[in-house]
Amino acid sequence: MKGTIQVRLTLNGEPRFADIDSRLLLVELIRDALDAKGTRVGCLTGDCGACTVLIDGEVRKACLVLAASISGNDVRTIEGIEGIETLKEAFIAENGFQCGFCTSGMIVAAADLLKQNPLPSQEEIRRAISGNLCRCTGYESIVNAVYRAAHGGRLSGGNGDE
Amino acid sequence: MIGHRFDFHQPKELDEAADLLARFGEDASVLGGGTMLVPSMSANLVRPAHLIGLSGLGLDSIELDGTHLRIGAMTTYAQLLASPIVASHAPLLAAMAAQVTGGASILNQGTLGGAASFANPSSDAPGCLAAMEAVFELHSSQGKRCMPACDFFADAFRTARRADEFLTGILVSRDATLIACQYQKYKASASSWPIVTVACSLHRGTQASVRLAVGAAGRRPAYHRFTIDERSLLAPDALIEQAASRALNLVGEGWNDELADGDYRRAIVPGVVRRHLRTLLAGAKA
Repeated sequence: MKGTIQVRLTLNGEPRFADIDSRLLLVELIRDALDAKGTRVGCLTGDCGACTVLIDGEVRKACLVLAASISGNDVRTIEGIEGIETLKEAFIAENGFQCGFCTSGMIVAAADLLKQNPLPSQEEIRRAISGNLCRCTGYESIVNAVYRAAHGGRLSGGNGDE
Repeated sequence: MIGHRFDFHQPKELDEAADLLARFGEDASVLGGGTMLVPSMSANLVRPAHLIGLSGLGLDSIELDGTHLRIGAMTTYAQLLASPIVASHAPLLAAMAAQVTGGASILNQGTLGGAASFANPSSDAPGCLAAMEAVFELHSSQGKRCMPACDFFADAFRTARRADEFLTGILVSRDATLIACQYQKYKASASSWPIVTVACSLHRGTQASVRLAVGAAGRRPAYHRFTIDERSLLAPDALIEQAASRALNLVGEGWNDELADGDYRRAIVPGVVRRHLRTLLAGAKA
């Protein structure tokens, strides 16, 4: 395969094409070639989850995927995930972010959880975001935000971090 | 972007993949789910001239025939967890997959064949597959060969796979004698790679036996099958002590990495072996 290749995908519902260097990662294709900046480049080791996207409906880390391996797939980023208004409002209400770097990945992971499990327990929320790091360590607020989005209220039992 | 240039191949047929590996051999890396190889290439730690991706080969099926459960090498942890066949015929594997860390994204992307081929001592799959006496199906342009786990896991980060071969599937014998099994990993924090793993199972056929594999403690999984006398299950302390000391001997030189040194890992082994065998055998007295 040559150094430059053409990739074809559906990004947030729109068919897109790009001629790219075959060494590009999916997260770089999304940000640099297709100019969707909501997905972050964090660690590039698959640990932090800042680059979390959906590929064909499944949660994935876009730094672990070669752009060249994408072939007509449906890719959704924070800009194109539907039905996350409640999650966004809950993140604001619960102060679910500080610097905000992890937030898009957290919300993509949380939206995937709520799609599969609309009323998750605190433990299930923690497991669902276990591939996403918040270096501000605001985990309690993030878990509370996802819980609020699902259940419409605060976690009971003094699990807040105030 | 990955620093060095490489040719990326995505074969659509097994023979095409085998031909590519026959041509490029040591100059090629085989790409499974990508959770280890892609970041290693991003960090310039691995610099293959050719990258051969297996995702176009349809190697992600889970099949049951009269004698074996066959798991395609590209089957993800999420697929293992979703499979009723795995749940009923390979409960140890299901228990292992349930403890894989990294969240949904890693479960959706990491593959069993990739984890086995990477053979990181400090990981889940090798010990579990050793305890299951799994057989590894390797393809090359010269045909197919099958290799038991005890030979496949050759050393830390090294399997007996030749440079012209790739892993296509993992076979586990159907086993009507399985009574109970346990998998547990011990780790430094919720998201840590394992420090030590214990996989064990109790079997009752014409002869009772216990299979025990300790992973992550040494350079390769430490595995032994203990044939046991039914009467010893009534008072299993001697058996458990024998297994704990045997396991430590099999571990050999402890595995050192940034998470724990070899002496620490070795020190944990007897205690966790005792703990899990006690629980495993407690249910067997009845």
